[in-house]
Amino acid sequence: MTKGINRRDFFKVAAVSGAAAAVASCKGDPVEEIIPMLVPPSEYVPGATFSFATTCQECSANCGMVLRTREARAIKAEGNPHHPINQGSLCPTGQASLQGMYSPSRSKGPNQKGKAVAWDAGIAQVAAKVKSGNTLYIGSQRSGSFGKLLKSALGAKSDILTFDMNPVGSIRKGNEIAFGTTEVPHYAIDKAKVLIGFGADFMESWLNSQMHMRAYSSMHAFSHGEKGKFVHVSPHLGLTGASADQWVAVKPGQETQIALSIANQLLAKSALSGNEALKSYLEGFEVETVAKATGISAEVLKELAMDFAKGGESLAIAGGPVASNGEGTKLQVAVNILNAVAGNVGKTVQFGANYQVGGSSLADVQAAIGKIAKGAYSAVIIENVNPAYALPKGSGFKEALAKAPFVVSLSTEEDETSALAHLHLPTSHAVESWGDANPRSGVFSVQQPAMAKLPGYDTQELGDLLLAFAKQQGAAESAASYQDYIKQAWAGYQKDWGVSGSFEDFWKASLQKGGHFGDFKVSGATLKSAAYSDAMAPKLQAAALSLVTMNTTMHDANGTGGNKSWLLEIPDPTTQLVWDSWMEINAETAVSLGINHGDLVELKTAQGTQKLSAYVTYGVADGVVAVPNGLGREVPFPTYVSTRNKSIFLPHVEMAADVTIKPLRVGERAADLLDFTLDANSGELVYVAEVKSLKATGEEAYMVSPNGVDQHHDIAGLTGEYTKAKAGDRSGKDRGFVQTASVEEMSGHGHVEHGHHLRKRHYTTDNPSNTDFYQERAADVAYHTEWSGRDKPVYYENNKWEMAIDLDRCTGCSACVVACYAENNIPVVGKERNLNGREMSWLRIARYQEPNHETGALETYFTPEMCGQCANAGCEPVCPVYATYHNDEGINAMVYNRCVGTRYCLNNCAYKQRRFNWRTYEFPAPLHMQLNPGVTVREKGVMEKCNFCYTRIRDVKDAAKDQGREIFDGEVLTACQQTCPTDAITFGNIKDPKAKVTQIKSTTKRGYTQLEEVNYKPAITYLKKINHDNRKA
Amino acid sequence: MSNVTYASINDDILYSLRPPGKSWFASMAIILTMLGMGIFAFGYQIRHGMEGSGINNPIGWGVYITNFVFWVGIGHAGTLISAVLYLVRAPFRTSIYRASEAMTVFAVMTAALFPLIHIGRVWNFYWLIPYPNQRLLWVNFKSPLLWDVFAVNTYMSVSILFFLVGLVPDFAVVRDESKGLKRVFYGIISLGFRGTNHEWKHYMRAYLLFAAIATPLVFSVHSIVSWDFAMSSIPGWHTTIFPPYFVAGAIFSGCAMVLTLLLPLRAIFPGFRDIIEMKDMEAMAKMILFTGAIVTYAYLIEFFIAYYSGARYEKALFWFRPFGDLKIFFFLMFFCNCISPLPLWNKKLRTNVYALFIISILINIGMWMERFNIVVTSLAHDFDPYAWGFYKFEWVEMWITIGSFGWFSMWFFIFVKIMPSLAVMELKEALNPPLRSAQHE
Repeated sequence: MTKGINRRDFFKVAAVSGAAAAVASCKGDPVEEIIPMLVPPSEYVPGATFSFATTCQECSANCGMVLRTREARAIKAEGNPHHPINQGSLCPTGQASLQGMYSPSRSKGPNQKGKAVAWDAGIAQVAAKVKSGNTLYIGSQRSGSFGKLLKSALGAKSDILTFDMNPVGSIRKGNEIAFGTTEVPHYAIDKAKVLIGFGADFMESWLNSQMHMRAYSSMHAFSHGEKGKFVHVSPHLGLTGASADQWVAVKPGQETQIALSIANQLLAKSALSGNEALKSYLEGFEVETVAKATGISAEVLKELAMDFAKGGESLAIAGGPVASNGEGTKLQVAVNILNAVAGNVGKTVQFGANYQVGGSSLADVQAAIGKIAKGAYSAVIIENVNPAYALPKGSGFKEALAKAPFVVSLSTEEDETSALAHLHLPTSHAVESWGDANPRSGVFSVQQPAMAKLPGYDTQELGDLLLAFAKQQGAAESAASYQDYIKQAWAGYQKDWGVSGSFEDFWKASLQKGGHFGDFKVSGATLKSAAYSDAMAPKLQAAALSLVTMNTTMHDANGTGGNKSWLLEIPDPTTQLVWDSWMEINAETAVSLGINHGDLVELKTAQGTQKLSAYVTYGVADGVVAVPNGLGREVPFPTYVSTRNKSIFLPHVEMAADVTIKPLRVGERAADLLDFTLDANSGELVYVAEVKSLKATGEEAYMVSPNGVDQHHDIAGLTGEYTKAKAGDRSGKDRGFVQTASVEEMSGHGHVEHGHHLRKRHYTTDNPSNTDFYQERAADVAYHTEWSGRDKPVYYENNKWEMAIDLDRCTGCSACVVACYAENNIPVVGKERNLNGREMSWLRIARYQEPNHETGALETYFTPEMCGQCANAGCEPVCPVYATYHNDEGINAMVYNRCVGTRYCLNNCAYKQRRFNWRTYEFPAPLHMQLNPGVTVREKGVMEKCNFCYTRIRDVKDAAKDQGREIFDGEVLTACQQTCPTDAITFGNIKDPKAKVTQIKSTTKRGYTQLEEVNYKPAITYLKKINHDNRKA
Repeated sequence: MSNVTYASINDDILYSLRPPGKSWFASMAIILTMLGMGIFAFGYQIRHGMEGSGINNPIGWGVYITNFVFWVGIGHAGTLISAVLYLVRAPFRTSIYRASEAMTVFAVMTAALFPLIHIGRVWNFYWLIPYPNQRLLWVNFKSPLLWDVFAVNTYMSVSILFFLVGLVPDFAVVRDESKGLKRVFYGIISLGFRGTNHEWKHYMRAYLLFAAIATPLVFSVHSIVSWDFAMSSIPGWHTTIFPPYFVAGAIFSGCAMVLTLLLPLRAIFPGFRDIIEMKDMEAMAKMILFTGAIVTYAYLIEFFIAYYSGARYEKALFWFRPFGDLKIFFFLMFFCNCISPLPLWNKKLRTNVYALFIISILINIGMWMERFNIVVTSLAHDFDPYAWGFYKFEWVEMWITIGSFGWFSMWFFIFVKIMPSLAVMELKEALNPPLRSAQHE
């Protein structure tokens, strides 16, 4: 040991004195230490990021998650790259689990209607009730070891339900009818060449969005001159449909007929052609009959069948709320027939995976509600699910619960259901808890706490709580804590799986990797005759005007995202609306009803009336209106002060903090419009209702979008006559932000369109004959070269960071935007500031809608837009104080401390990627604890923007330097790239000839630069979107 | 000026220096209230950030920069009249130049506030000035904003000096006409000017020299202000027409402002009517017609260039200005600057006080709208359609704008009471010397 103080001791002293200083200074704050550890673990380094592999519990898909922690606080949720389910990406909801963890509406401790109680007293009370009679337990779907513990904790007399609004039950029931198994199989989208989705919103909420988007990109992304085809058959386009090559707009219920019509056309050449019963059943769905019944032209139906047959491998999938129209199970059966006829079962429909998604059937929930109302249960325990919010009024859940003698809520946050409970025992958030999951056969995933319990919040882990219940019941549980319980269970699994070595090693390896991962055995299934019995024939007639409620990328019908500010602030990708629910209405329907874009309309169904903002679009079928699920929560929430409609001549002075926590309802609860009708076969909720009346109220809606085109009503189609030729942004695609090419062009066939001819007329400074113009500059460069003692000028030392974004892969899901908010401490500003153009997002998913030049159909394109770190930037020369400058790694760096806030850089940015801090934004407690200490929190008056996650580059550089090596390609991942499920973003060092980004940029024929004629030379190369025959949905 | 004598000039002009009356104090109270509103709003902005102004994400510059360019523009006419017209010996200059020069100085003083008001962290404003410091931080001489700092500061210093130099003999007149402390005060600021031949010789040389120095600045300062826009890459800003267009616009608005100020001055001090004759006002009106024609030409040629260049973004912007969301500002600008001066072609209207006053006010409004159009609509509708924006006024910027008028008026009201508002010396120069023989004939 050397003399004096070594580095580690220094840090210990620094940490302790820092902690002391912090204790002395901030009294009101629940967290009082800079480093919340009395004695840090020996390997602990302040300032370093530690990651913990765990399992996401935001939905039943159970993706693998990595929680990054700094100073022992979780700061970011990322996907676990080793996890076979999501392979590194994480959806917006999963990433926002940290906002649930640090939610301002988290319950502070056990309480009885707001009056604090002690944990022991609370547990004893529950145990007594559980002992005394029947118990109903409604919880979230938890696969893994939890179920066994739950049973032993509640005893045999209890009913256990899992609650999930997503209509997965129709898939299970449909498979039971058609194949005799209730399992959710593995849909191998990546193996298909043609994919037809019947309502299945697999990019939003269907089964597992991350896994399916990844698979979809490998099937659909242009590669080696080929790409798969995806057809979306649904009344609603949505994000999933917006990626499709073709959208067949149908009325609710018509999907089934179309699926059967395709099956009918394919049957003759199928292995099942000998099945006479099937043949006679499908004969009822001749092309002409179906064309007449649905209004979809016979050509389209024939084309669908031809496409489906020609590729070889194909796949049809069905589900999602929009398809849950009362015949969701019949649709699943029809799709099963189609898959069977096309020979996909066992190939792209792989049984044996047994995905543990979805909850109990709502028919069971309905039965339980009836029993609650009758007083059959002495106690109702509700754990982290929110039926009081999610179920339509017709379910009578709230009324039944009011009759229950004893209701216990175990929910982490205060929600609509916990407000009805007699006793609230808040459980710790999943980020703070142990657990495990078994999302599908062969995948066992560990959930470990990434940090100690949130200070100031008196919670217990769910598992520990159940162990306590179990012990009170006298169950023989040997585990001291749920952690031990999990370890015991895993010791058993180790034997089952035959993993050699000591348990400690196995356990450590599992914790490090996030679990134990294996494959499943693929099996097929044979079509049963029940599938083509008359009982399964579609009968549904769509109403003249029907309502569908859909899930979006940010919100689903369970409503867990409805109180998370990231998910409200980040625009819904397809409509680009923020902080609100809306009603999508087809332009032609709107014209016939006299409704204009931006009108406040009154929508009336049998169940209720709501005032909603009309969003006129071609993304919904004629005669259908669509409303998003999951909004309209009534919970304490950061409320952003608004000065809307106040006089511009009178001061509105805010002296207090601008963000207060109080109940705020964002949007409307779509469930209020729905009847509590259930699918007769599967018992899933019907998300489709008949619209009784729909009329404009004459008021203007308060509909806010950061999209400059919408904001202005600048879409010609939205101000007067609606025609497809007029709708859409008139200049988006023509300005070259999104460029497209067809598969035929790329493979050298067909007509090659070289963008618009005007582009050719712009000037470049690369012209060699122009060099004399720059003689002076050359002399300047020579001088500085000599001054720095070099032979030749070196502009970038070792690294020049560049990016390639493949628009053919990007689906617009916006997970990257959430990652950017989380990584870079981007403030959420609320609805009004979004209206005034004060959004702070460093990365936006710009959506452009453009009518196709040939067909006139409206096409939707997405492009991630962020600062391009231009080599010849507009912002750098205009800054009077050098607050923004080009660093030697090609980053357009921003020195916040030097910025005086002239905003000239913002004005001169052709891409408008800079964000100004119009005020010092607030992160209401405890959300401020999520802030990344590696990134400065900016104060009022300074400019900020994307810097290619320079903190992450820095981290990797430091690590590489410590190890005395160069940075590997792919070692630095920007936050957006890390979470992209389709790998649309590639980032790396362009000076490394072997780097993937260099390879892409030097070899691609699809590359282009946005606004090339401005000559800013951004570091981002976009790869053209590739369409089949130059058309898409 | 037949009935004007040396003595009547002294009397008429120094009449304005008498102790202020009730109406002066009443006006000053209003003015100080306006100024107070501005100071309060500015304080609020420092404390809470820039949110109280309508500037937003694509539109980084709004009312503040509009005000800046507006006031710099106003500040043009004074030096133009005092220096350029002096060099070209224009006869109508004499009666109006002092007041217009004062207007220039105060307008530039007002304008100079706005670059400070508009920056996000005004407490660090001195970072814009190149001063030696330990951290070796330097300013960026490539930035047009920095050129602006120098251009405006130079113009302000030279204007103030030129203004004060012109005042020296007049202060001496005031000194001679007053007693007591006042006499001492004016004695000091007149630098002991006695009116000897020797002094006059040097004085006239110095004045000529200053006029020569000030003249190029008249053209440079607004050219440089225009480069704030022209040097950028934004459609609607990035254009070579800006320097002459801005200078013409500045003279246009400056002349209008001279009328706006002098017509009431003439009404308030009846003695001024003999000195500031209608033909001088008419000369201003002619200047307005001339520069107004240049401005109109510039507006039209911008549209033609946008059409003829075939540049997509330029075209879209010039379509947006008259037909987009912010079209009201375009049409206000076009009406006030191109249509409203047209009646001045008629001599009767040109010499009618009321018509002149109304038109001058309209032009002031129009020129503010012009700057607003240039600054805001260009940013609202540039390259990326996704980032198009809309401007909504907010109270802080309105109050600060009101405060800027208060600030300007405050100085002007003080000026009227402590300095000769018209150039005593030069007016006398234009008269026949009061020779004894002349009186006897």
